[in-house]
Amino acid sequence: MPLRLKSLELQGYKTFASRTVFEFASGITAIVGPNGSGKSNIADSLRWVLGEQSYTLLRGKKTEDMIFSGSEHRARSGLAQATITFDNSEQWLPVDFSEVALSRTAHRDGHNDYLINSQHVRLREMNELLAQAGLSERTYTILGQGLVDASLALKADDRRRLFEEAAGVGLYRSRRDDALKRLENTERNLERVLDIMAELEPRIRSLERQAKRAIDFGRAQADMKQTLREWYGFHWHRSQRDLTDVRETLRGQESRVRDARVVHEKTQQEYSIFRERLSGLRAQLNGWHRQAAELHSQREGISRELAVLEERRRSLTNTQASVLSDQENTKNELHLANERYGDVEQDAARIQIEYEEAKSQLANVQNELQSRQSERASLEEQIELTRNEIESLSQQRAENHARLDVLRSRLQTQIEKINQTKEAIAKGEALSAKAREQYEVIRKERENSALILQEAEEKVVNQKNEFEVIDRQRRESLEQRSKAESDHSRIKAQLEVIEQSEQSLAGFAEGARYLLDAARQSKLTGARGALSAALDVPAELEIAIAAALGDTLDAVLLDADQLEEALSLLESDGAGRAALLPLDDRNNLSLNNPKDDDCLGVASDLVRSPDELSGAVRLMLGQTLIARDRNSARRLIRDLPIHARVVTLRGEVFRGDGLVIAGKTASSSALSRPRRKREFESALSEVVARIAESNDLVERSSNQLADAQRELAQSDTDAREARVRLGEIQETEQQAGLESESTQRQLEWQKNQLTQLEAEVQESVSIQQKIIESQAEVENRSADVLAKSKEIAGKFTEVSTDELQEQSSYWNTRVAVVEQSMASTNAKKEERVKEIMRLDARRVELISRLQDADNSLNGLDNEKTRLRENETGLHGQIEEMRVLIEPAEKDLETAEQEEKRLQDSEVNSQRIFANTERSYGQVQLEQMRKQEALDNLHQKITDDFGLVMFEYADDVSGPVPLPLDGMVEQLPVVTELAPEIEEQLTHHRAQLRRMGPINPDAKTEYDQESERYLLEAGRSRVG
Amino acid sequence: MIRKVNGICLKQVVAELDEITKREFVRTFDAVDKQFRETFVRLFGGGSARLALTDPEDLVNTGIEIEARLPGRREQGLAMLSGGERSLTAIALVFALLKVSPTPVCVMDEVDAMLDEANVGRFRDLLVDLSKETQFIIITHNRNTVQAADVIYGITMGRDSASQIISLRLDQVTDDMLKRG
Repeated sequence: MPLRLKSLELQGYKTFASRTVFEFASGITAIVGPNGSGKSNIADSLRWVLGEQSYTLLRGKKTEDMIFSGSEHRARSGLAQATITFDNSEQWLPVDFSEVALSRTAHRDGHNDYLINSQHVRLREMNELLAQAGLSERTYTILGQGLVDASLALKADDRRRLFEEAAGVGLYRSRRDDALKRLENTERNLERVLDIMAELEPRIRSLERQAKRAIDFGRAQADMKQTLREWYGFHWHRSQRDLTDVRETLRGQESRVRDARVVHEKTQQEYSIFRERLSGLRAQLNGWHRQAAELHSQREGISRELAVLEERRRSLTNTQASVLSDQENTKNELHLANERYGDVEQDAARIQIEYEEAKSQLANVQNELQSRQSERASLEEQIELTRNEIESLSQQRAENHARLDVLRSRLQTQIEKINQTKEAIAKGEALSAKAREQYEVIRKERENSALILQEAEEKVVNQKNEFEVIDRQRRESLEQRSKAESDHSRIKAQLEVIEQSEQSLAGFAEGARYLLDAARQSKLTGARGALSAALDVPAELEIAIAAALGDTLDAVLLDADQLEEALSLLESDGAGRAALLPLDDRNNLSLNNPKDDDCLGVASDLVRSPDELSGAVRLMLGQTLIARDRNSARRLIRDLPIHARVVTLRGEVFRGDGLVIAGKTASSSALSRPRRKREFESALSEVVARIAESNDLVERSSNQLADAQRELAQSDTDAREARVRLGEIQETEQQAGLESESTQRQLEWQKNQLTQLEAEVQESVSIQQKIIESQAEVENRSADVLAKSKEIAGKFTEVSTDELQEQSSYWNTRVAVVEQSMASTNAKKEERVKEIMRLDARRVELISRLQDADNSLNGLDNEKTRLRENETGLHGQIEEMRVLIEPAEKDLETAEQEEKRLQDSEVNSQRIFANTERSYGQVQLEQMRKQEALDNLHQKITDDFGLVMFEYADDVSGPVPLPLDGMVEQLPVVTELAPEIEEQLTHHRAQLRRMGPINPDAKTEYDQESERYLLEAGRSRVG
Repeated sequence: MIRKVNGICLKQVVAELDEITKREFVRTFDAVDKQFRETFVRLFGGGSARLALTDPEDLVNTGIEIEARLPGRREQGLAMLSGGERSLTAIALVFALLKVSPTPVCVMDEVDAMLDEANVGRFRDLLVDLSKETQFIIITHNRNTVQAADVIYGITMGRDSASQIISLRLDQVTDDMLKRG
């Protein structure tokens, strides 16, 4: 099988995020892995790259499911790609490449690309290529999970598809289905056309009716239009005339209104001017009144202020007196405070001096104390050091003591152990020697048993051999017996066959058989049987004798007197022919033996027969010579009489009269039967003897075999016993060996232990020595250190600090006391200063207050004089005002009378104006009505005629259409309307109303539908 | 009329196609049936089976029935078979199809999942026979099937949920790779 699919490369496909390449084997490629590892995705990818479009088979829903979707540790892929590479060196794919790579790429937007050898192709091209190669159209190319089961579970009809694919007829089937579908489509189309036609027919009929009515209607309408034109022409011009008249009237009214408005406006203006003047007068008068009132109120305010000023001046004089007395008091207090401050100052100076002194004393004492203390500290340090040393030394000593104790006890135990070990060694040596002896004894015993076993086994082997020999002998004799037995049965069977054929007279002529049967049934007496049965012929002469006898071979021997009876029997029963040989005492002569080498003799001499038959034999064979071959026969016959015969060994008969009979005779078996019977019988007896002999032999060897078996069993038991015994002994030996070895090992271990212990003791002793030495050293050093410590302690007591400390504390208290009194003095001083400052401030304040009071008094006086001046000024002004107001009030009265008159004339002119305006409005309304009537008429005309070229009067304007030919109607100018026109119009209108609603498009619709009907009819014929 | 002529044309085409389909179908069916009998006996180690047409009169639309007799049992409908027996019967059918009309490549995804050991052995032997004609890609959990392979790939799922492949020799296929989850 050549390699076809070389490799598969995946990138971003489902779980295969990285680029993955599979190289396939030419035979079987196996893919293994646990569930969920993505095995089946390989099958899917192959299906996919081969152009599969069903996402259910690909175990997904959409293109995006083919792309690696990412995980916690890995970003999703942007596209999925699968590429399969086929080996095409044998050109099984119909392209000129030795290698074909098919590839499919899917993008996240659902877009798929197909490539063959990196060339973009369409899906259809890819499918065609694969179909030609037998890859795409085989459901069983890729068997997904459970698909094998599905192929069975498929319904019987679906299963057919597999076979069609295998047969490669899927293509035909799809084409067939296409054809059927197309046929069906056509039929459906035809049906639809017929439906449409059936639907169209009634509609066309109704449309035809409608069209006819529409035409009638159009005609009536045209008639009416003609009449209308005239009617409209008259009315149009009349309306225009009416409108012009009304407009004229309107213009007259308009000028009247204008005049009335001018008169009215003039009166109105006069009246308003006068009113303005009047209101100016009133305003002036009012202003003067207001001024006078203001001046009065000002005068009152000033007198109030004057009273207040007087009061304030009184209170200020009082304050001034009280401040002066306060100032005196304050001055006295200040003097007192200054004196007290001086006292306090003196106290403070004294205390300061005391403090200085105490401080210097304290410093001295403290210095001294410090030096003393440092001295003491250094001594203390020394004491500490020595004490530590003493302690460490005593610790060392104690340690040494402890170690010494440990060593001593260890030494003791070690010595004890040594003694014990020594004893153990002595004991172990004795044990070991004993074990070895025992082992030796057992070993010898084992050797003996092994010898015994060997002998027993040898015996067994010998006996087995013997047994086998006997067995073989027995088997041989058994074989012989069975062979003899089979010989026996074979011979017996042959004998039976011969006897049977003798019984059934096989090979005898029919007549002879009949006669012999009759003889057996005692129907014929004196029959002696057949000639052949009576003769005993040597085997080599059988053929020759049978040939010589010919048909007379089965001649029935009869007593001579019975011949007639036999003949009549034959005759009466219509049996076949038979040769009959009556026995009589005729002495037949036989030929002389010619004494020739090639002549075996006269036939009658060569066969043996019972004596009573010798005559018959001579009769039958006495004239017959038996020759070796044809030549000698021919030679012999020449010298013989005419009735003689020569027979060769092959059965050729040469008669004296020249007749030669040759060829195979039917059977010489009848002749050989007695001889063969005899032979078989003798063989049978021989075989029986052989069987008996074999039986004897078998029995004998069986007995021998049983004996041998018994012996063998005995020996076997012996050997087994010997083996068991040997096993036991071996076990004991092994045990003894183990024991001896273990005692030896123990001994060894004890010895090792001893040497080890001795070494340990030595080590311990040396360590002990070392410790004792170090102990002595420690003792010396501790004595030294003790002496030193005593010395230092003495020094320490000498250096005392108590006195100094007392002094220092005394001075310290003193300093503190002085500091306290200093602080209290300082506080007192501060208090005094504060008091002085307060009194000072008070004094200053009083002075300023006095000054303020003086200033205010002066200000008040000035204010008073100013106010008095103001008061007199105001009084003068008030007088002036009164002089102005009085004449003005008289003026106002006359003006008000004039105003009343003017108002009356204005009302009059207004009434006239309103009247004129109302009549103008009426005319305007009339004009609008006329205009509207004209517009209505215009509308009606355009409704009926469409675009119309209107003729307008000079003062009427309206839209003028472009003079398009045929589209624009012209209205006739009619001044007088014929009376019948009105009547005609009414008639036409009634006619049109009777016709009712009309479909104006009925004609076109009818034309369209009938055209469509014809088209469908045509299609139905085509379909 | 034109319509009739058109119809006759199409009907003729259909008839011709039916003729071709019939001929090819019968030929293939006979061949597959023969192979199926042999394959079935080989796969089951005895028994007998045959394919039959549900409607031999209508060769264009006839379905195909499977009649199976498992060794030492009476003939049974497919529905009465056990899962493994059913899959093995299906495999026999597929193999028969492959013998009659080999495809260049055949992918089998866990088709041996339901088979016992003896059946897998026979399946494998037949697979090896067929691999002379067809290239096989077998996805399997079964060690016996793997033994037939010339090339083995192991698939594992990495920690990043991406599949990885390992090329394996037969003695490297561990039980881990074969276990089902």
